[in-house]
Amino acid sequence: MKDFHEYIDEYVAGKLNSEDTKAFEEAMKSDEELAKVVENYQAAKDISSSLVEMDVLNKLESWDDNQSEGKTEAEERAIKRNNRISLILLSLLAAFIIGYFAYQFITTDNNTTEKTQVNPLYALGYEKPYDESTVKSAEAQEIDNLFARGKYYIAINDWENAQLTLEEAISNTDNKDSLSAMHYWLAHVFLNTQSWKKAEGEADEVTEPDQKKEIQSWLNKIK
Amino acid sequence: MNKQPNNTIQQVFELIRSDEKSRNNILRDLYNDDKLRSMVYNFIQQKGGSKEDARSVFNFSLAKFVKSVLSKKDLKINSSINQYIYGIARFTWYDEINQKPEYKEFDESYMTEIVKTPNRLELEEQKILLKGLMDQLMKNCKEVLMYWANDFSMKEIAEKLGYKSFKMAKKKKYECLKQLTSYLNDHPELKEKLK
Repeated sequence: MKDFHEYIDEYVAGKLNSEDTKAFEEAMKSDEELAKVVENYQAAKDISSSLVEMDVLNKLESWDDNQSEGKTEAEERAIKRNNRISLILLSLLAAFIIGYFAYQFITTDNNTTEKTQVNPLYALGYEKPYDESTVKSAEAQEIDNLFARGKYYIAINDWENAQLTLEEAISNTDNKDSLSAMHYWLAHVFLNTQSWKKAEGEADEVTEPDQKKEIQSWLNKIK
Repeated sequence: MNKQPNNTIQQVFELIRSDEKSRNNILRDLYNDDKLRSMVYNFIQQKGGSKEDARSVFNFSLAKFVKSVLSKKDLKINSSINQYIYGIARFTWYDEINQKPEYKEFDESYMTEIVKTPNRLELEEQKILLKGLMDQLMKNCKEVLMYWANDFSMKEIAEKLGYKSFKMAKKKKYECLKQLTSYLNDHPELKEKLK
């Protein structure tokens, strides 16, 4: 036997044979710590046996203290549950806000993309025609002249109204020069809405050579 | 007890014996069991005890329940865990008011041993006396000594506390015993009071 401490339980219980018992007792003479442990063995075992009860009591009393401070377990659970609900609601609100802005961003981006797609000509250096006199008018409805109103809608990128107004103007005009100019502007409306065939059809109606050439030039570039 | 629907009585015992964390989880469930608490409180207060007595007996009964599960490997409960704990509370209180009712559902001699060694007042006194020791003992020492004193084998202790071998557990136990012995030598009055 070298590690005598391993045999303390057996020694105290009288389970060692006489030879080992003698060796153990010899070891105690030279090992004061071993001797003290054996001397206090029963007291140590009794105390150790009660450790679990004392540990449990200490724990329960600390929980009691929490209760007396006004936070019962049930209340703590309720608080945690409420916190969880608040967290979920906040998360939902945050998700809604993020979703809303994401939607706005995406739709705005789509519009931008659409515009980019509608106006591939712009990448080629295209610029829509601009009539400063019509743009100065505050409201389209204030412009009596249909042609001028059509040009105003073009200036503000309202292509649908621009088309309707110019088509109405064309149907109400017999003047060839005016008609050519109207078709020219309407052709630009179709260039901006990527309605290439319609733009081509309008270009055919333009009698002023430079304007006709201009529309056809853009149509050729886009092809 | 919340754990009971999911755990059989034997599973609860195993959890109590397995490690401190599992033991505390079971303990917390029992502590928060309003039905069990009201059973004990009603009984104590009907038998002349105060609310403070009821609280103390309730805690004492839980501590004794855990202790009995740890120290008695062949513990058998014919009723539910709550009924057993309620039984400990009744035994405790009747012992304190010097009444001796009959309990057919419990092993009376074992129940008497459980509630009397030490009894509630002695345990409270021990707790105060050993507070210094409890604070000083290293946490793993408390566990090693607790399992050792409740007759767990060194192999079991090694497995529960994660020591590589039972030899390592034995070495740890010796270190802890030395620590405890040293404390007792520094406080000789303790040995006298705890006798």
